[in-house]
Amino acid sequence: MKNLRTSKAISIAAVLIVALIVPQLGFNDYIMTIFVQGLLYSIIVLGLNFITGMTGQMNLGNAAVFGLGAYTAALSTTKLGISPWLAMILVALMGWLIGLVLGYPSLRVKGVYLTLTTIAFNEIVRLCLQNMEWTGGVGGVRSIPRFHIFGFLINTPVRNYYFILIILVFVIFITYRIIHSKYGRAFIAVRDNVDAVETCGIKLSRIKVQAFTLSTIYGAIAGGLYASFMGYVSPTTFTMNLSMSFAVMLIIGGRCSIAGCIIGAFVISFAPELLRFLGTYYQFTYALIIMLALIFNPNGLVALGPKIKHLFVKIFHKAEA
Amino acid sequence: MTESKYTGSENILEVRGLTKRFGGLVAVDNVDMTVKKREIHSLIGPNGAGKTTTLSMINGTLNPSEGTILFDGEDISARSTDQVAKMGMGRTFQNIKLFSTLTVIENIMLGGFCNYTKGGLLRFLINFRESSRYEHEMREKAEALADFVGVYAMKDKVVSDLPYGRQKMTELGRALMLDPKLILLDEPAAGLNPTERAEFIDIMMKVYDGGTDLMLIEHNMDVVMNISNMITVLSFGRKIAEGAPKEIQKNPEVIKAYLGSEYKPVI
Ligand SMILES: Nc1ncnc2c1ncn2[C@@H]1O[C@H](COP(=O)(O)OP(=O)(O)OP(=O)(O)O)[C@@H](O)[C@H]1O
Ligand SMILES: [Mg+2]
Repeated sequence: MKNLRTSKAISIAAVLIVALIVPQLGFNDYIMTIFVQGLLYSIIVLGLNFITGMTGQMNLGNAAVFGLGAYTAALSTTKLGISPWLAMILVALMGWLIGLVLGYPSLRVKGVYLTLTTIAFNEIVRLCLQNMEWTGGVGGVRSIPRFHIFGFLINTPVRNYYFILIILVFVIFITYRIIHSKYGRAFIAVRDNVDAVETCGIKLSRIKVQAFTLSTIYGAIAGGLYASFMGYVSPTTFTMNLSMSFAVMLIIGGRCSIAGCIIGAFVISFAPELLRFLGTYYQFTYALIIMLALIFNPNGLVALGPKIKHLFVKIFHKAEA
Repeated sequence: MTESKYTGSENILEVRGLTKRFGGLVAVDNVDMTVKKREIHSLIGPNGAGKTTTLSMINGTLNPSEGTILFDGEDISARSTDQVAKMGMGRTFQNIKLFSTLTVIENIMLGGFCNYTKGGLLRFLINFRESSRYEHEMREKAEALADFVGVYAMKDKVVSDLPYGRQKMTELGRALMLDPKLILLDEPAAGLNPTERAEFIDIMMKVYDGGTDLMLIEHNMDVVMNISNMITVLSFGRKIAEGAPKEIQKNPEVIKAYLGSEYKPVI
């Protein structure tokens, strides 16, 4: 037990050191931008984990939540002229509001129907953002101000990387506490045996909406950070395809695991780069890999670790014999 | 210890004119039943008699089509399951309903969800010391209960890896986490081997002696006749008899509808 804890602490420290070194490795701005994207998507996937990973309800509307967060920040800073920091409070409130407004009606629909409802939500939001005048239409919103922190202007990909990394660490800390609390256990209870939840004195509708609201707050906050990082937002970003990618990140990485969510977010963010050499075969190969991964490794990349370890032990024993 | 740990009405449960219709089928038909405090009350009857349906209406899982339910003197006919649970009514299920991917101790801890809390999720996140103290207390209590129901040695195992009998014990442990005034047990001895059954009865009696009243559905007549003070017999949704075990054993209608022949205790 003690051993396990030390080895866990060592791996966390190692990952953190690597994360701190990454910007010093001389990657160009384009690659650094993808790293920042990975950090932002990690926040979203950690949120999605509450609703899809833990309570087991597939949600394909997260790109819209991400978008609403981004537009809240974009419009409040450019039109109302408030600071990006203050805008983040509005963004979090927006996430909370989406959770309540969408969460309670979604209690009435289950399974596939809920998934379809979230898809519809995604499309409605995207179309509204695209067609309304005050959201800037297809052109979106430009010249979104950057964050100021201790006199630093967060205006380069490297600075954004460190800034969002710090926020991600904070988000991970909160997520860890929730997952390992009675709330986290109750979320999983909803997925495992919904009939028994209320006999434990847990109000089912409340716990479901809580999971839902957490995911929308995370999504909106990632959106708000995204807006200031990019400097502009455009409605074409927040498509159903992006929502699907978030779900793929969660499942490929590993549900109910913080490490899994983050691994998934980075792997899928970098997939287009890593598979670029395939040219026109990219989409096909990407889909095939995901399909095979889901069939042969349904518990995600985090589940590979113990599997590989097991394999090594086996080979080692054979070699000894 | 024969005093109930709670005061209030002299009946822990009163059911009046309880009826449940599923479409055209009347699963429970105008049933009256009173469970006195400090009593172990059994509900028996042939398959499909409406026993589980009755239990589900009592704890709020199903809405009664008609009738009223008083729990410790309070009308709970329209309350939801979580509200009824918070008032101190525990329940176990005929086909075990555990949270399969969680560990034994996590399952038991969840039973006390509403007891170890103040405010909501936000307060939990902000107030570190309070939330870790609650978590700690909850775990301690769950560990004591795991020990009590005989699953302490496997408390950190995933619950679906446990043998059937241990799963049943875990489910009872989870219900006890509520500090219930009354526990509804749906066929607690079904599927247990004789040793496990004896152990389960022993634990149930300890729970009862601790001040919790029990109501159980059971097909095993040794269990029913040995531990209950009062028996209600249902058949096709109707109450056909009620009384002490000795009377029920001799009741010709019960023999015809359910027992088959007069029950002979094995000594
Ligand atoms: N949700 C439901 N919808 C329709 N019919 C139902 C429903 N639940 C139970 N029934 C029917 O109601 C009747 C009573 O069922 P119930 O489960 O209460 O019986 P029981 O006495 O617990 O039987 P057993 O001893 O087999 O557990 C049965 O005919 C059953 O098919
Ligand atoms: Mg039944």
